[in-house]
This record gives sequence, structure tokens and C-alpha cells, in this order.
Amino acid sequence: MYSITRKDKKIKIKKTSENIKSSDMGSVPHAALPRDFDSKLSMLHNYIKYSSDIVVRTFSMHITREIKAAVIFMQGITDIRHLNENILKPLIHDCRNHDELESFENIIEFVENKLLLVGSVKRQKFLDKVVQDIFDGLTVIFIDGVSEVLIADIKGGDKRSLNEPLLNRTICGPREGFIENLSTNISLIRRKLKDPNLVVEKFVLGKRSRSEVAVLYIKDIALPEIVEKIINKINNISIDGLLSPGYINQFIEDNPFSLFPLYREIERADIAVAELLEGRIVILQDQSPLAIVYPVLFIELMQAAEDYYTKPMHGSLMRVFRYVAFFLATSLPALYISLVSFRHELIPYELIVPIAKIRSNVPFPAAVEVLILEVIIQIIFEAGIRLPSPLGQTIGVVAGIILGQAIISASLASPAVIVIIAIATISTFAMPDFCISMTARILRFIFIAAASVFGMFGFSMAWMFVIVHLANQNSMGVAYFSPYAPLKFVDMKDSLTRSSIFSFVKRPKSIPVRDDTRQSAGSKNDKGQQEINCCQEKNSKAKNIRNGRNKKDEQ
Amino acid sequence: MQTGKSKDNSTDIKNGIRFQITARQYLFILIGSATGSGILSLPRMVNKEIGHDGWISVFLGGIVPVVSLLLIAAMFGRFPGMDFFEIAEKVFGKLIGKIFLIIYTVYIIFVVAASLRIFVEITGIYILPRTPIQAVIISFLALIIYSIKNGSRLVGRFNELAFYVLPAILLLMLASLTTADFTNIMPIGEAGILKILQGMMISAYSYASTEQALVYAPMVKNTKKVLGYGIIAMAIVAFMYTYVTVICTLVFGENAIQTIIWPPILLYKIVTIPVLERLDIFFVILWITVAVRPSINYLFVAAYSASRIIKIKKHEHFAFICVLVAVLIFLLDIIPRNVEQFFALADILGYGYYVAGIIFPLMFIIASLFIRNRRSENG
Repeated sequence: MYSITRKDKKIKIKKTSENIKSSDMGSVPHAALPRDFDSKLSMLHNYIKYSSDIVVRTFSMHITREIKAAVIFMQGITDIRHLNENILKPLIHDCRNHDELESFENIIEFVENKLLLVGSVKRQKFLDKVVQDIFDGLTVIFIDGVSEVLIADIKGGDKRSLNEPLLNRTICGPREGFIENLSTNISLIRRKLKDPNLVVEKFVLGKRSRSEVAVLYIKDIALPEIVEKIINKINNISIDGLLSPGYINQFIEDNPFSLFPLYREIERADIAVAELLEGRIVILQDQSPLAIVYPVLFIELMQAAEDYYTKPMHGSLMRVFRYVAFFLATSLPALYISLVSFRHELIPYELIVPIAKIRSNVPFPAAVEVLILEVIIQIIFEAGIRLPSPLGQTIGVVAGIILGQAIISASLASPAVIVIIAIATISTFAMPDFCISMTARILRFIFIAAASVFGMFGFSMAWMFVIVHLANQNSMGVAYFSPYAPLKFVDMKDSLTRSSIFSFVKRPKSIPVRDDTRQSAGSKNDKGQQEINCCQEKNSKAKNIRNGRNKKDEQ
Repeated sequence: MQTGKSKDNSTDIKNGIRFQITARQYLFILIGSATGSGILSLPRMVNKEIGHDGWISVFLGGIVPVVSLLLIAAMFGRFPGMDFFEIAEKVFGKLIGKIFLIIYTVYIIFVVAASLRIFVEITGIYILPRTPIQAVIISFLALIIYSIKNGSRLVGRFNELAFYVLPAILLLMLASLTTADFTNIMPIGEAGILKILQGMMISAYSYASTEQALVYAPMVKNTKKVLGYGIIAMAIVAFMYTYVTVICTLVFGENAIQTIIWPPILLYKIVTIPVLERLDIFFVILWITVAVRPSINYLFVAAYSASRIIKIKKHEHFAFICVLVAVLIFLLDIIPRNVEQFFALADILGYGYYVAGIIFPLMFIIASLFIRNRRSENG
């Protein structure tokens, strides 16, 4: 198991950022704890007295003599039942019958080895570390007469149950989504991927928030250069609080000023496993159900997990229409403007007459008309997210039906524009990735602007800018628009359309990996055998049917 | 690319990661540079000179760029690991070498100016009749600067992407075959071998793009593939040219075609597809993506050689040179009064292609022979 435990990593990180830490924790001196119980407590008391949710439970242990001891923990984060059953009960009650104290070096070793029924326990000598551990939610055990203290990890408390996530919804696929608990999220991935090569590296980021961040990758697939790059970038982050992986993204993204997301936000473990198997790196953060994936390709933002879970043809069909939807979402209003106000002759004759007739009532040029509706739609969308769900539907009805009707009868816009904007808006939400739908919304405005100034020419120039921009982007140094540019013919089988899983013998070439073999050669071989058997069966069945028919005919 | 800026050579303009292309991108760059606005006037030109057998000349014209590619490959073969700029200075010394490089750069700048102006003229006539030409040129130059300032890697990628438009447009041409008359190209070979060979030299101008190989070929990572992919590129271009010329001749006939400035665009006027009225405008809109490529590729070559001549090393400064060259080209483009002067310029530049694409590498090879002889005598 390559898993690097929390303890080791933490120490490592602390070493690298020792300078920052000691200056920040200026209020807590890096002092060794005294042996005496009361002076220990009073030393600590200064730093926890303002936090009334920290509980100090003092008691005395009776092992050959009375020893004063205390348990310090934070309410709400510590699992109280665990604490009572496995720490307090053995310390107060069970220790009475023991008389083997002499065989141990000191009392703390005895407690650690014989009494505590806790999985992960460590020792700590210094005051600042102890204070830090208390605020990290660990349980600290003070014992009289020893300068060391014991620190037990019995974190618990409330967490959300596993639900179907809001992002990456699917019809045929697992329903479980990540929750706001790091260890649960990692366990969800471990359950689906039992590979001992799966590495979980943990970091603590944020000087004040001290958020745990885990970087996951498969050791013998992911390219070490990319892993190193990400870890270096993460280590360089120095910020007071980290509330969402979105913060990390903004620090480590290759081009923060790109319109396109150069990462992928996912909320489901099965997608995370699929990404890991392709040699990518998944970053999880405690207290957030989002996982981010690096490096990512543009084509992935057009993929949904169920593309791979259904038949290739079905998945391909959905995928092609997602590309169509992306085009409609970004370009349809701009195309309408450039056709109606610049290039009437491109519109079929039968269509231009009704459009012109309706438009004669509208006092605005096409661009203004489109902009009015576009602004309204964007506001409705925003309102729909913020309102509680029952009200959200009402807004949808009011906006969609009443407002639409009113706009037409007030001749603020023609029905054609309402149709155009409605199609573009619906297409925006056909994107499987939330970030790319935001990109589509911004691009739509850019295209509208280009089309209203330069018409068709501006529209195609704007698209070319977007394509050049896409071709220029990198995600952790990996070409973002691959396999289209740079062209990778091998990867084309899983781009606009998808071929069968058995044809993915190698991992995608677009993402550099250490080991690119995905299937052993034999996995396709038994297919032929089955076919022969099927044929024989079919033949015999066909014969029977034929015979039956003949008999019927005879009758 | 934020990390390790000082450590590695990723921002160098020689051998930097942004200035490397794959062999396949090299192929697409050569195709993209050849299939610009030239393809639109080619059927008229060859029909004027040779008659209905023009397409044979067009096909045979493909030999000239192959010869050029072979010479360039031979030249680079003599100096492994060096690029054009280093070879020039090594063979002819610093001063004379630099003069050759400046001639080359100026030639390329004029090619960009001419091709951009002719291309803008076409878009002006078909899509933007009332927009001032300066505005169109500026918007194109903005796009070009954006695509070249990040190095040849991006130029290669853009060429790869834009390639797909070309087969689509060419396939649409087949629709016009309903009005084709096959007697228009019969009898084949009537013009005679001599005339066809004469026409070959004229049509070879349209293949002008291999002189870029002087700059692009050393950037290819896999040097073994360079020559092969270059020849494949020229074969594809030759096929496309022949295809367009044959279809235009079939549809219009050798007499009518001489009066049409851009016969391939007119082909789309003949075709009517139910929903897409005015297919020719649709064609020009798609054509923008295809025809902007020669300008991008050539302008990159111009900016790159200019920055190599004045010994610029870092990528950040290269972007600045791109803008400077673009401004120069803008000025060159707005000075002449009409497009006729540009057609005249394009004819002269046709000879420039022979100089840059064939005489230059030949001269370098011969000169390098002397150097080696001299050295062996000395040693």
C-alpha cells in the first residue's frame, strides 16, 4: 500500500513551511510541555479559554496510585460515543485491575498500549502542536507526571448522507455522489478501485482554515512529471482560508484568464475512478463534495459518464448532439443577427417574408432585440438557482409564458427571436459540465457582439479566435484541444463519437502516461466462439421455424 | 507554463517547446499555405495559357515543389541539427549570410502582403462590400497575431483544425457537376507536350509554400519524417488543384473560364441547395478559415526570421516582433490603390518562389561543398 499516512505527510509539510507557521502561530510558543499536570493545563488554558466549545474533562486514573488526567476535545467534531466507550471508560474504569505498570517505561506508554481502544494515536511534546491538534478536531489526553501527551483521532460528528449529486447526473450509472467529508469520499473511490497502487497524498492548506486536501493518482499510470507539477503548485499555495476546490483551481490552473475550464469538476466516484484509470490526478478537499481533475481535455467536458455505460451507438448519438447543442448555445443568436440584419439573401425566400412581416412591428434592430431577451433569460436563470425550488418553478412559468407573451404583444421582440433564445438557452443546459455551460453563456455574448458589428464575417472571425484560443490552451502542460489539435488519430475513436470499450486497448494518447496498456490481448478473443455457438443455435431455431411453417403451409 | 520559466528552454524561440511541431503538423502547414487564394484564380490562369489541357500542367506542376523539398532536405542533411539561419551564417559568413536572410524575409513579407490583400479583396466583394478595407485587414491581422505569437506549435495546431474545412468545401463542388459537359476537356493532350510543360512552370507558382520549409522543417521533432510528409503534402495539394481545375473546366469550358476572375466561387453560384440559398456566400464564409492560413503561416515565417536575424532569443520578445511585422504588412497593404497592382506583385513574387524555394537551397548546397573542399585542403 503506497498510501502515505496523514502523520508523515503533515510533518513533511510542516518542515517545508516551518517559517511561515512559526511566525503565524506567534501567539503559541513552540515550547516543550512540563511534567506537572496543573502547569500543563494552565499553560494550555490561555489558548483555549476563548473557545467555549472545547471541553476539558478532568478525572483521575487509579493504577497502583491516583494519577490526574484530562481529556480535551472539541464538541461536535469528536465522536462522543466513541470517546466515552473507548477512551474514558478504559481510562477511568478498566485501569483499576491492571498491575503491570512496572513492565512499561512510563505511564503514557502503558496507556497507549494497554488502555486506549482507538485506531490512530500519536504522541506530542510541544505546546503549539497540541493547540493545533485540538483545533484540528483531535482528542488530547493529558496525564500527570509525563511531559508527552497522547493525541487520538476519533473525529465524528454530523455528516450528510450519500445522495445523488447535482452535478454529473446520469440515468444509467451509479447514483452515489461525494459528500462533504474527505475520508468518506476517498473510501468511495477505494471501494471502486482496489488497486494498491492508488496513492492518496494529503496536504494541509490554508493558514487559518487548515483544510485537508488529498491528491489521488495511480502510481504506475500517472506521469510523475504531471503529479510533481500539481503537488508543487499546491504546496506553493499560501492563503488564509480554503473553502472549496475552486480556490485551488484558481491557483494552479495553467491559464486563469481562459474562458474555458482547464479542469473538470466532478461529484461522482465512478467518474473519478475512470479519470484515475486514464492516468489523471484527482484532487479532493475536505468539507467539499467537489473533486477536481487534472489534466483535462476539451472533449471530456462534452462527455457524460453514461456514454460509456450504454451501447456505443447510443452514447455516440448523445455525444454528437451535445456538440450540436454547444454550437447552438453559443452561436444561434449571433447567426440570427448576422442573417437578419446583414445577409437576408442567405435565408430561404419562403422564410424571409414571414420574418420580415413580424419584424416590421418591432421598433428595434435585431441585435437590440436579441440582447433584451438574452439579458432577461440570464436574469431568470440566475433567479431560478437562488430561489427555493417551489418558487423557482413559479418563476419559470411566469418568465417563460407570461413574460414571453407580453413581450410579443408589446412588440418588444418578435416571436422568432424568442424561439431562437429559447433554443439557445435550452442548449446551454444540455452541456454535461457546468463550467462549460458558463463558457457557452459568455461566448454567446461575444458572438452576438461580433455579429452585430461585422455580421457573418465577424461571426466567423470570432469562431476562429475561439478555435485558436482552444488550440493554445494547456491543462497541466497537456494540449487541451487534443485529439483534434494536435491531431491524434488513435484517440479519435473516443472523441466526437465513441467506439466499443473493447477497442480501447490502449489508454488515450492525448494524455501522457507511464503505462498505456489497458487491456490484455485476450479480452476480445472469446467473442468469436460465442458467435459460432449462437449461429448454430440460430440455424437450428431457423430450421425449426421453417419446418413449422412448412407444416402450417401443408395444413 | 507558469513554472520553471528560468530553468528550461521552454520559452526560447529556438528549440523551445512552443516552437516545435509534429511531422503531421508540418504536413498540414504545407497544405494550408498552398491552398490559399491562389486556388481561386488558378483555373483561369492555366486555361488562359494552355487551354482545356491546363489541368495536366497543374498536376505536373506539383513536381516543382517536390524538387524544392528535396533540395531543402539535402541542404539540412548536410548540416544536421542546424536551422536555416545558422546554416546561412556558417556557409556565407555573418554579413553575406545575413543579407541572404534579409532577402528571404523581405520576400516573405511581400508574399504575406499580397496574399492578404487579395484575400481581403475577395471577402470584401462577397461578404463586406461596404466595410472599409482597413478594418477588414486589421481584424485579420489581429487574428493572425493572436495565432502566431505563441509559436509554431499553435500555428501547426490551427492548420490541423482548419484542414477539415477544405475537404468539405471541395466535396460540395461535386454538386455542380450536374451542369458539367465532358466534351469541355476532350481531347486530352491537344495542347502538346511543350505547351503543357510551359504551363507547368506557371502553375508551379500556386504551389508556393515549400520555401517555408526552410523555417518549418528544422522545427519538426521527428526529422526522419520531414521529407516524406512534405512530399505527401504536395501530393495532396496537387490532387486538390487538379480536382478544382478539372471541375471548373468541365463546367465552364475553356473560353468562358477566362472571363471569370474566381471560377471556383462561381461554381457555388450554379448549385442550389434547398435551405442554403446563395451557396457562394456560404462558401466564402467557410473559405475564410481556409484562406487565412497562408497569411498565418507566412507571417509566422516572416516574424520568426526577422527575430532570428536581429538575434532575439526569448518568446516574449517574439510576440513584439510579430506585432511590428504585422504593422509593416498593414502599411504595405493599404498603400497600393487597387487589387490590380497586387496581382502584378503576385506575378513577380511567383519568380521569387523559384529563388527562395529552389535557388536558395541549391546555392547553399553548392557553397557548402566548397567549404568542405576548402577545409579538406587545409586539413
